[in-house]
Amino acid sequence: MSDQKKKILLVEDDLYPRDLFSETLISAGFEVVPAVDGIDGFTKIQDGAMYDIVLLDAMMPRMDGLTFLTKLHESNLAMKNAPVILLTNLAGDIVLKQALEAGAKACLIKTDLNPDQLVEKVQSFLH
Amino acid sequence: MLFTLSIFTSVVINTFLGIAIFIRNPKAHSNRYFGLLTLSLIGWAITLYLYYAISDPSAVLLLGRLNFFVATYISFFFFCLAYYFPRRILKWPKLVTYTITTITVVVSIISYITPLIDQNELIKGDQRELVPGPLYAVWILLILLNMILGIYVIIRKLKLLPPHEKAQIQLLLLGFVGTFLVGLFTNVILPMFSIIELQSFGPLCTIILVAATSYAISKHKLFDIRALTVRAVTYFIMLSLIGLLYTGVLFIVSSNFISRSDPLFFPVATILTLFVGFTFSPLQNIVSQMTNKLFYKRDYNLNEVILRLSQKMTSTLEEEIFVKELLTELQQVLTSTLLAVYIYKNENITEIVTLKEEHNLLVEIPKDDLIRLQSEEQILEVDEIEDIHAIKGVMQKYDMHVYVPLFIERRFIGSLMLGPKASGEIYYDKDIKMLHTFCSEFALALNNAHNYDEIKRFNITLQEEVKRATEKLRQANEHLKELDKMKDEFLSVASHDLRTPMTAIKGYLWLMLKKLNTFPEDSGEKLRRIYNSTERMIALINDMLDISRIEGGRIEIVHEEFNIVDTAKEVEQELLGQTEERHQQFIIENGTYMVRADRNRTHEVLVNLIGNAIKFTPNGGSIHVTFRERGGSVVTSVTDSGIGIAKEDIQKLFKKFGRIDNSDKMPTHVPGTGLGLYICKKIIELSGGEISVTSEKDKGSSFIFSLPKV
Repeated sequence: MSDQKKKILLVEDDLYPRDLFSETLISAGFEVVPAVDGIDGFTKIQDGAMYDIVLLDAMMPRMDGLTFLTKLHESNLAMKNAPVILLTNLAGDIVLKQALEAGAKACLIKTDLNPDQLVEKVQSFLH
Repeated sequence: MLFTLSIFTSVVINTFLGIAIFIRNPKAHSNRYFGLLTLSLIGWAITLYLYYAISDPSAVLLLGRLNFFVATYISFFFFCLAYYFPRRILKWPKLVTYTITTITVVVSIISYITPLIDQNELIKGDQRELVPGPLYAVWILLILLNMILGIYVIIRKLKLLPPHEKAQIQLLLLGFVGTFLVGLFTNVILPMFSIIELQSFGPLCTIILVAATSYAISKHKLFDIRALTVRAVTYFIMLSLIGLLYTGVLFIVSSNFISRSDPLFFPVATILTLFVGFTFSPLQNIVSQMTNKLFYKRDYNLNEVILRLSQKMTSTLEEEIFVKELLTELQQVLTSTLLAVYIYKNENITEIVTLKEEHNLLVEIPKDDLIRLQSEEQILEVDEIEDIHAIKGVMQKYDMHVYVPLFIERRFIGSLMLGPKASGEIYYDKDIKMLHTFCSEFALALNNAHNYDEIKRFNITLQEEVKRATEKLRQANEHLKELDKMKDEFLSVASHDLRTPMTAIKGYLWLMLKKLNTFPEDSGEKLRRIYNSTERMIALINDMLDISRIEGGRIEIVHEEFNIVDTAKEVEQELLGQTEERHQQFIIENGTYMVRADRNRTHEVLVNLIGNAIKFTPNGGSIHVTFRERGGSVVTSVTDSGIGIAKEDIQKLFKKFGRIDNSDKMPTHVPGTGLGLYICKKIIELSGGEISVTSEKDKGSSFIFSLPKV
């Protein structure tokens, strides 16, 4: 077990889920860096900062999740190899297919998870 | 007077040339013997002058004998020069060479010290008369012997030497013959007819030999002797013509119109001089062209050719075209029979451009030999290369006579190769000079054409990149459009918008519930009820969304191959809490049953069926999940020991909202949407299977579904 906290980039435009997930993950021992949409999220990785995992909302203004993902994979940033989990309240399977094609590791439906389950899922993707 | 002038001129010129050549390479035998030859010629001229100038009898005798002494060495050094120039290929035994040397030295000493050769010199005014001694004939014989030996060596060498060295020795021969014949003519033949006036010109003839040999030694690289001869002849004709013209006109003018003393004479003479000066150059061109046409047809004007080549090279940027035109021009001018240009692109690609010649070995050069050639940085002419260099063998293998490497800023970009000339001649100095001048321009033109080509290709690549980028953009657009489409579907919007607040409600409730482990039971229960209600709402939304998509044909079944037992075990993990809470026995049969279906959807079905089983089985009951193969399918059974279903109700089961009223059997209100089984049925059917139920009231139920086997 490493001493360092795992760093999560949380990209979610809606305030309530963003705060909810941040609080949950922080109490679970993670370090959480929030971003309010795709562009904000991209800015946070452009300078080469590294995160252990990215939680990415699908529906966001300015730049949605899939576009963010595509952009990430076209870039030369080291972050493109980090696991990305798409979080959405859209119908799962269509988004899932596009998400996986764009390079996401998984696509989860937010309302299907309680906070503990979210933490479990995140931990499972970090190992 | 004329005699003095002649001596003076010959001494000056010979001294100059002798020193110049000797200094160039004092170590070479040729240069040394040439120096000695000129020295002896100078000595002879000076002694001859003094011989005529001084009147003292004893001095005259001394000088006469000195003259003989020095003259002995003239033919001797000529022989030595012939032997060593341009290099010593005949190796005569030391005995022979030492004998000749000894005899010469002895005779020369005898001629000076004794009266045996030059007995006496009689002075008759301006004239001198020789009284030969008894050994005079011996002296003559020795002179002749050395001369003949020299000629013999030269003739042998003419046969043995390679072309460019042959040219050098030819020149030496020419010089000697010139001097000898002219000297013979003026000093021996004419006096026989009592014409002694031209004797004074004797010493001047020596210049012919000296000049010719100097040229041969200094410009040893591939000069065309015929061109030289023609040029010499031309000049001679020119000077004679001019001289004749000038003296002729002057003579006519002075004898007929103006006399010498006339004050007009001087200006007229000046005008004539100027006239001659101006007409000299054009007249020279005309005469030169005439003589070229008569004697030397293969000559070409270097500047004209280079100009033509330059024009061809700048006329087009198409590599192949201008290279071919270039080769055609070179073929015409140089009469080469085989030509090829190699264009080096990178290690693995080299293009060849050539004219359609038969049996052109130059185009068949393999990579290894090309690489060996590439290491040469200068123009190579095969005859110039010494046999010890391997590169000569390489060139000879392909009948390559000239190799011209092409460089741009020290970078190798290709080479020009020429085969033998049609006439069989060597490539002369002029040809090599022409190639050298234009090869850097050629390299530049090739580079330009190459760059142009690259730009063209880059342009195409750019266009393709733009096309590809546009395509990607279009796809991304469609991407967004699909997402947009999804957003626009009413139920998608509705469900998404409903789910959004549900996420917050569910999440914060959960957090509060967790915290409430320390709070009194009651408020915990109230929150729990709220939490459960949100879960029901979420479930309903999910189901409605699913149904809308199933009925609208917008659902996607992803077919995968997986072990259904694993999926069942996953569901077991998720629902373990519930079964434990109700103290129910939950067993899943082990095994490997591979099916082809949508993993996620099958998971959903199992959650539904097992969830139902848990819900409709009282505490302490049991739930079994078993598998078997039948035909081409894997049949899964979820069996419970629950309250069972009445026969008449079974039909309602798989319909929308087909809930059965069990309020009399079950104490607590059992949550459920009433859509679950309907969705299960649709999913199983879409996966290529069937679902059914067997049940008896109070005796438990068994839900069975099949999926295609792998």
